[in-house]
Amino acid sequence: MIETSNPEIDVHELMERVRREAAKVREQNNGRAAVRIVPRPVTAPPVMLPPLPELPTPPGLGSSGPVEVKKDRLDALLKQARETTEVSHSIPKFLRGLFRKQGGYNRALLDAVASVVKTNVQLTKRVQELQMAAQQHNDWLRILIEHRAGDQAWMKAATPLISSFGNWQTQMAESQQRVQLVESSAAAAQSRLEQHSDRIADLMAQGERAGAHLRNLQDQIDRAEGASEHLRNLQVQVDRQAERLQDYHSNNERVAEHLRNLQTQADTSGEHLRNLQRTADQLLAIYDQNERAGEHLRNLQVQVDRHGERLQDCHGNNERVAEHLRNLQTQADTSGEHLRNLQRTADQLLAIYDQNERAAEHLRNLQVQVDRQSEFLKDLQEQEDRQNTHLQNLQDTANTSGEHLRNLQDETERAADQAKDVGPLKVTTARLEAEIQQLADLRRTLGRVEERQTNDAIYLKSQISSHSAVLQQWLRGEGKKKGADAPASVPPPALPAGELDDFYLTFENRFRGTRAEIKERVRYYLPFLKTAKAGTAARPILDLGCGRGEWLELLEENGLQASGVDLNSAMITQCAERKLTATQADAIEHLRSLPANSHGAISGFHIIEHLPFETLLQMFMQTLRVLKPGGLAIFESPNCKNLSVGACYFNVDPTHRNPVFPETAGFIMETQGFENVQLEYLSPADRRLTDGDQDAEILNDLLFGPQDFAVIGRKPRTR
Amino acid sequence: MKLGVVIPWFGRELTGGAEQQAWQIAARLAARGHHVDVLTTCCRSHQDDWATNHLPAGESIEPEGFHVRRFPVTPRDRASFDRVCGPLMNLETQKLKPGVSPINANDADVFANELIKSPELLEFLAERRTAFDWFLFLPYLYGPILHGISLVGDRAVLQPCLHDEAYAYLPQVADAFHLAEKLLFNSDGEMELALRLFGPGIWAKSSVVGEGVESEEGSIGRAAVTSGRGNSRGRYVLYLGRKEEGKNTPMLLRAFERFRKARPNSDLRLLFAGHGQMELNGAHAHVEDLGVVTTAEKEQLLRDCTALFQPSEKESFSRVMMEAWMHRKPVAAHASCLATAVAVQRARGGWIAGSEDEWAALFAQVARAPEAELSNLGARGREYARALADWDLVMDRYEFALTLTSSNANRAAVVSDAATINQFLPNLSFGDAISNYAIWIRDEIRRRGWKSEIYVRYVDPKVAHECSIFSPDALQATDAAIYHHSVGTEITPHLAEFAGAKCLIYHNITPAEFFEPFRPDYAPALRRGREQLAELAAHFEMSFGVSEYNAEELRAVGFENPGVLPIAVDPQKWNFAPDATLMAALQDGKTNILFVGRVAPNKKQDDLVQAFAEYLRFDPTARLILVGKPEDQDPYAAHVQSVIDALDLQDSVVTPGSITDAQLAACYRTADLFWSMSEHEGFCVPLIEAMWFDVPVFAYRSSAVPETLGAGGLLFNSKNDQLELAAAAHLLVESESLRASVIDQQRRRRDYYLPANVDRAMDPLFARLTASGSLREEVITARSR
Repeated sequence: MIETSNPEIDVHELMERVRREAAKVREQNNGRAAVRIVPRPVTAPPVMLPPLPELPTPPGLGSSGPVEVKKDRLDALLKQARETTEVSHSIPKFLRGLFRKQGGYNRALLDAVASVVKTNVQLTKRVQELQMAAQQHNDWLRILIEHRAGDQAWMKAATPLISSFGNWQTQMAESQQRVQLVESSAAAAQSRLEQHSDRIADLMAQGERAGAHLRNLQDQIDRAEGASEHLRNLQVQVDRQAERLQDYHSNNERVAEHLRNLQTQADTSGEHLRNLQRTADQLLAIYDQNERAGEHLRNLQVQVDRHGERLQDCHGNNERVAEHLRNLQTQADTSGEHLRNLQRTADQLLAIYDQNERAAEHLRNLQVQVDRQSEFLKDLQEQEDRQNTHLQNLQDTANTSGEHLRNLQDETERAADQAKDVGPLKVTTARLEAEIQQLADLRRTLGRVEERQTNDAIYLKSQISSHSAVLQQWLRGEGKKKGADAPASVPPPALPAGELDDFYLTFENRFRGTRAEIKERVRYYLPFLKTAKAGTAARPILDLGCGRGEWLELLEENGLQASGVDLNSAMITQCAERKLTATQADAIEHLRSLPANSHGAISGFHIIEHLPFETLLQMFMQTLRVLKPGGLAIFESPNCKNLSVGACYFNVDPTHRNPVFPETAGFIMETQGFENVQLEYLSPADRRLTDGDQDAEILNDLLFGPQDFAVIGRKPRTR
Repeated sequence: MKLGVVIPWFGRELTGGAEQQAWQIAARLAARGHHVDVLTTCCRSHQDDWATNHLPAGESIEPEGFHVRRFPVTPRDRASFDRVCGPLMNLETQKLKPGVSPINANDADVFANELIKSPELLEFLAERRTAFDWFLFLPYLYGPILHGISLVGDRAVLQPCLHDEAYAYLPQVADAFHLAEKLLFNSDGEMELALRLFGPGIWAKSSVVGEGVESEEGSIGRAAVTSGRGNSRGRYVLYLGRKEEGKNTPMLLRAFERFRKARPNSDLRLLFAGHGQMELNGAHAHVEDLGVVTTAEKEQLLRDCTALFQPSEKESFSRVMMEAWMHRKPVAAHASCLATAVAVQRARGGWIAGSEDEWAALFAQVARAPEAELSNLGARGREYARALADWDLVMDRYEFALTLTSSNANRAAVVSDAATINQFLPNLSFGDAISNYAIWIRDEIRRRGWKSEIYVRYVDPKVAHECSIFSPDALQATDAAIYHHSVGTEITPHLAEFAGAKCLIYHNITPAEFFEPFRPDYAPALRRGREQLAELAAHFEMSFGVSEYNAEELRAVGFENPGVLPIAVDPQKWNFAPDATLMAALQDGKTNILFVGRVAPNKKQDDLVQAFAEYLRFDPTARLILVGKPEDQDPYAAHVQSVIDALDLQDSVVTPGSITDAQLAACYRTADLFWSMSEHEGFCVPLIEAMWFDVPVFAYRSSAVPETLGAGGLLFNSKNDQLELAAAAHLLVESESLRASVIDQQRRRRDYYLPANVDRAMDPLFARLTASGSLREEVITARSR
């Protein structure tokens, strides 16, 4: 049986030893089956029964041997007696009477002896019978003694068992003690539970107080809404101011126009003056010439003096020159007039400037007013933050209480474990559980209230920021306005598209799920990206319709490079607040703007069900173009194969157009040129019909199947 | 090489074993041209107050050419320390259990922290870590050692000078052993003790350097002349050393008295020499206490004695034993002392005795031993002592242990962009043998400078970081692929069609028949796996089985020349402390029988439970531990449980389900027998693991089991007579000699599966997979034709 290639072991000898050992055990247990009762460890010394008194062996029947009957001998003696007492005929007659008498006596004697013999025989028989009975009795006694010995052996064998009964009894007693302990601890638990229910009542009161506080908060929020009403009024005022500003502005425009004209006039005058100057210069030159001419004249005079004849001609010349000079003088006078006119225009301009200054002053005052409003809003914001903190604290308190309750729960459970049969405890536990449940509900309600508040805060914040953006744009526009855009392009009073953005953000916050939930849900796709080696600088990821940026954030946390695009400005603001790269643009337009073969992966979560079919085609086509070879496209959408999704929840989002059938989505992708297209089904509902029959299974598939699906395709590698 | 020797006390005149050794090492390494700094405290010696700075701090140079840097000691909480240390010192050795702290965690902390303290020394270690190639810490106890090792990281070498004493069982000591990069031991026995205390995880980093013994044979001659005692004493057994209870000398004396009573006419005498008092009562005419003797007298005594007896149970390295052997004298050692007993065993230079009776019998044996036998033993002892205790050889071993690896410490991978070898398998799960194997192969490939990834269809989240999800893109014609085949999945066809360089590694498929009665739904997949294997033969030119058994199956279905690529088992993976709670619970004196393996019909846990019921007839308190995670609601697991219930064995069969590595280590460490009834194994890693933990293996001869076990363990080829099986198992647990022989073979066998050995088997595979591109193209074109 044993084998080994160990050279030091002699297998034969080993087997001999094994057989010897086995035989020893076999003998001890006499081939009993292996089933045995494993003795439980005994903690107390075994209780021993007093030993039974040994039975003495019964004395044997003290007979000295069988009784001799001797009947034959007695019979023989009798016969002999009869024979010897027979009276012979030879006896004389007179003696015969005597002999007869004697014979009668003898017969009587013989009869007596014969009856004694008979009795003797009977007695002997009787003795033998008695002896046999005694023998039987003796045998029976022996059997009895053996039985007793057997009983004694049995008792001996039973002693440990009985002793273990004793143990069981002590154990029972211990158990009883334990039960009592448990009962007392249950009682303690009961009292603790009562304390706890007091605590719970306190907590409930606290909860109520928190509710009251929440209501206060609600009021404050209402007041905040009043404030925003006030803001809207302000807005109207600002609008009015803006109108007035516009008026000022058009006025200014006109003034500026006039100024421009004046400027042109002034420019023309300047030109003229410059001409005049030039003329004057010429005149001066001429004057110099004249001087020289005078000199010359004087020389000429001398010459005239000398030569009288030629003087006359020269004088005529002089007359013409003088005439010309007079004309020049008149011209210069006209120019001066002009200059005075210019001076007046400049004064007018100065006045207009002052007017402008005053308008600006007014605007500055307005700004201060707006600042004050912003200050007020900020205060409101802070107040709200404080309330949030307070809520957080409340939440923490609730959590701590929850923790405490859980501890209590654990403790209670332990106590319950100890006393499974203690009924009332269970009831109390159930009550406690119900109360814990209530508290959990309360906490959930708190959570919901908090979330709603967060949403409202987001809404308010975006409203405030768009208002202040409008105001600032105005103010900035005013500052650089001079000669810029036409007044008509100054901001529209409200942004309908932006309003819708905020609506959708708030909507998502309410309906789509928390950030953490979404992030947990999309984590599923990380391994696909890893395999596609996407997310490096050379192979970045683009998320179409990035929304609040949960996916982008998850990618960033995993060291993957990614950017998002979304049409919704509020979503983009959210992304920006988290320092995520996201562009506000139309997805298709954005894709068109990207170079081909530039991305490692493109994703779109819950976007394709918002698109008309043609746009969807465009999106897949552009995605394929932008992806690098081997790049990955992931589009997730509600799974309309789940009836409750297709028929019901799909319609929760008013911006949904129509569900995209999973296989159809896959087919479209394939026709667009993607390869290895696969469908993944996600997020099955967590409740199911549990009847287990086939109908239930069919219903389970139809009603509680996966709620979302993803179509995943890859751009073929160029070979 | 620049070496820092860290020791709490240091000085030329200090007599402690570790201090002497440190001096010798420093001086001799300096003489061999190495730079040695001894880093020690200003406290003078172990006997002085540990919080007093007797010596000035700072650096000095010894004439031997090494530096000594002394750092001040700081005050310590002596009261707390004494409170903890007292009881610890008095604990009985029998109560100590490996892996179980003898005192509570707080007290252990107090002990470790309130030993001699020198924060400045520790600061120096932390700051100047990189300035030294190695730091040699000795001995294992004391603050600077326990705390210093973690500060210098992978430059720490511990020379523990370990004894079997309560301190060695403290968790801080275990940490030091696990953290140190290398362990150097003075003797085989000391290393043996360390393995017993800290498990096989420290095996790979351990080596025996020995300890030099200065024996100048020249001086013996002089001693002989000057000594007046000479040979007048006749034949005598010598004891050299302190005479005290701790050294077991009273026992030796009692044993000698018994011997005298039994053989009053023998002329054999017993001589004691050394410190301490001996109560001879004047009654022993044949016993003499010489008291303290000079070195020359000692040499003389050694030369003239018949044998040296060393009855002490607490030695890490017995210097006098080595000295006796140097004088060609046989030596007797105590069976309970690992260090000395193992030395005698290895040297075959004497005898081993345990009880007083055995020692008495040994006196008788020595008294009548022929001279030839004695000198034979002495000669073998001398050979052993020379190899172990010759200072030159010792220093060679130090240099080998320290320099060889320091240059290799940062072994740089050869960077090559040439090749990528990826692995493909159906799934990767935590702790599973195939998964671990794949991860190990990937690391081997990467270590060779190539790229390597693991692609799977299904992932266990616990190992998700080790792999990528399979997609057909992962198969690039320019890369090489290793495909692990067990049961086929949807990735199999892709690999079959893949035209690049590839190979198949076969991990065997459990025959469907095993699952038929329990999981008929599994059976078709298993059958299909085998059919698929035959189909794959045409698609894979290169194939390997993890055992010859698997390779044979490949051959049978048509693969050509399949190779064998065994699974490597690295004991270093156990270099951590086992689960302390379990260590304590399982060392309660009961026999522990262990089986490790998935709960599956082919593993036959049900047979094992039944055979174990028979085993209980020999050993009623034994315990069977079935380690292995069953699947939820698995019918076979339920069957095993019902067998346990039917035999009423709930109290003696333990099924811990899924357990941690530390808990598994505890199971292995405390097991007395590894018993397998498995009927189908493609390789069976737990067999090799059991061998590493020195657990004797008792296994049913089936499939790859005999191949994996080699000459190790005991096999049985029939399960018919379960009582005899149980008897054999019981013998393997109880018989010291059978056990020793089995373990000895197991120690030889396990080496075969060391990574370094398996590693070499990988090279031809990698070479073929990364063959030049042209070759691969040829393969591709040949295939497409």
